[in-house]
Amino acid sequence: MTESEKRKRFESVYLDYFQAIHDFCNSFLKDGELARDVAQDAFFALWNNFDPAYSEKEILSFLYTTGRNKCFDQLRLQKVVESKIKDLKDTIYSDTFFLDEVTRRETYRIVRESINKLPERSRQIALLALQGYSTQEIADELEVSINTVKTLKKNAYSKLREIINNQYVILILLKYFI
Amino acid sequence: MKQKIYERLDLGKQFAKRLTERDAVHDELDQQLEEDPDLKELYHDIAANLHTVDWKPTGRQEWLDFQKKYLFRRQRRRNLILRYAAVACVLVSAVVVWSLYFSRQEEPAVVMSAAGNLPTLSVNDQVFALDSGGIKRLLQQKHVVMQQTDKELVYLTDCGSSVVSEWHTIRVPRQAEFTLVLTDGSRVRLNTGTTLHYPVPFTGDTREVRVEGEAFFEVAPDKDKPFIVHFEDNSVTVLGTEFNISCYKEQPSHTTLVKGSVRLSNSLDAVVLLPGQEGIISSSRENITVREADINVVTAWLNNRFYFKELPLSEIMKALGEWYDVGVLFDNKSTGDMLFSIETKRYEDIDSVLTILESTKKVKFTRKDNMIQVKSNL
Repeated sequence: MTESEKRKRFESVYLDYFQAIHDFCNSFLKDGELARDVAQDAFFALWNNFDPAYSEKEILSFLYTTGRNKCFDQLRLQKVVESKIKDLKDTIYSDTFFLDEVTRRETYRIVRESINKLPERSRQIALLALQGYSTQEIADELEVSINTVKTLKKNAYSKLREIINNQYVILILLKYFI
Repeated sequence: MKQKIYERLDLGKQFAKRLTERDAVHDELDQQLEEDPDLKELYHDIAANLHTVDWKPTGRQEWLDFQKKYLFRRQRRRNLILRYAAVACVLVSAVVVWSLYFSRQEEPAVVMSAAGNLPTLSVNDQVFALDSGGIKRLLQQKHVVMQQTDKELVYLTDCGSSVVSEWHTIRVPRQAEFTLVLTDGSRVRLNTGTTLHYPVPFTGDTREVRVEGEAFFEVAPDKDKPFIVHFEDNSVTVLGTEFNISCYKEQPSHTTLVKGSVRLSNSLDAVVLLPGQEGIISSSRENITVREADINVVTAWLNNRFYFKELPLSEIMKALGEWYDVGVLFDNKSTGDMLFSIETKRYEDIDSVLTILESTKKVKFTRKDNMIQVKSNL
């Protein structure tokens, strides 16, 4: 594995995961710019330990864990001067918050990744539908008939499921919080 | 924990899939959600917040920014190294000659634990703390004649010619300084965190010493024996003069002439400085920059004072951090770029210095243990 191959692999990791890690950090920091810096720091930490042989899970686990630690570092510094996060404190330092955030950001990440693989029209409809628009609203928005929306939505959703299924081997769900 | 994260990564996939199956009944996951109300609530919360999500894929610009910020810097340096490979080769051989020349005294193996925050004097492989006890032990072993007062060590000029020359090294720790009078009568004041390496007595046609850190030299005139100060891969050659050298590790070196004249040289360039001028060397691969210096600023430390004049806060805090042995953290880069001027006594604790800076109402400091957090008030 040459340096340039390593960089290529890292680049695709960066493009695939950055938004998720950024949003994840923002849940802790409530500051988009700072979240971007911290997320970049997390990726730089990954780069310094990067082995292209790492599995997707290992990489994501590293990024979420590192991102969380770096957010805590930031919050520790802010704590003295700003008390705005004070009431959040107990919540965001818990493992439950962390694990729930990982779940949330992964869900959104996978939807994002899959949805961006759809043809443009299907993508638009799927996006609007996911965000809670009714069929009628989508039809008005895109200026197409209700039936077209229904068909396209059905197709888009089944394609999405296919993409998600093909991309990941879904493991048998383990029991949580036993 | 790792296992739990992995489970949640999988759960995210299940949730994503479930979101595209609004109406369908999904056996296992639905069962799971029914059994675990917390999980069910999480799923519904995720579903209810889909409209808050940025669905755009990460743009190339984001990746380019990251590369520029973290990865390119290193690569550019590597290119530079290639470009200067030839120069580097010459330099390496120069350094080899240098270190052979001075190798007898490098890095003594024995370090006296009692030395603590005292300056130390190393002779051959022995280290003596520069308190009266340490000097006594040295004098019992060696035939050099010297006198020591509180913060000054004087080698007497009349040491007999029978004495064999040997290399001595003085190390001044943080928050300390020390004055030395060499065997030729030249006086050297050593600032905090400085090492000076010199022979006792001087023999041969030149007087050569090596310094790292900051030192003010008042060189005793001797036309026949040039006084040469080596630092990094550069040198200053003088006859009789007063000048200051600041050459801390990983910082550009400043050689500032107060009186007389000196010749400053590195492997590429050589300049003669006039009184009031300073020569700056950022890297041994670059030419020397000469500019007018503010002597009061440069020599403030000789009067136990800090004097920063229109300097970025980051540089001021770096100097303060070095003296008071604290770390400094800025809330963001622009705070470190703000310019400040400050003149104050050096032996006060750092809090009084920070109070002065805070009185400008432009910055605020928060101190925790050995870290100082700097925050802009603007």
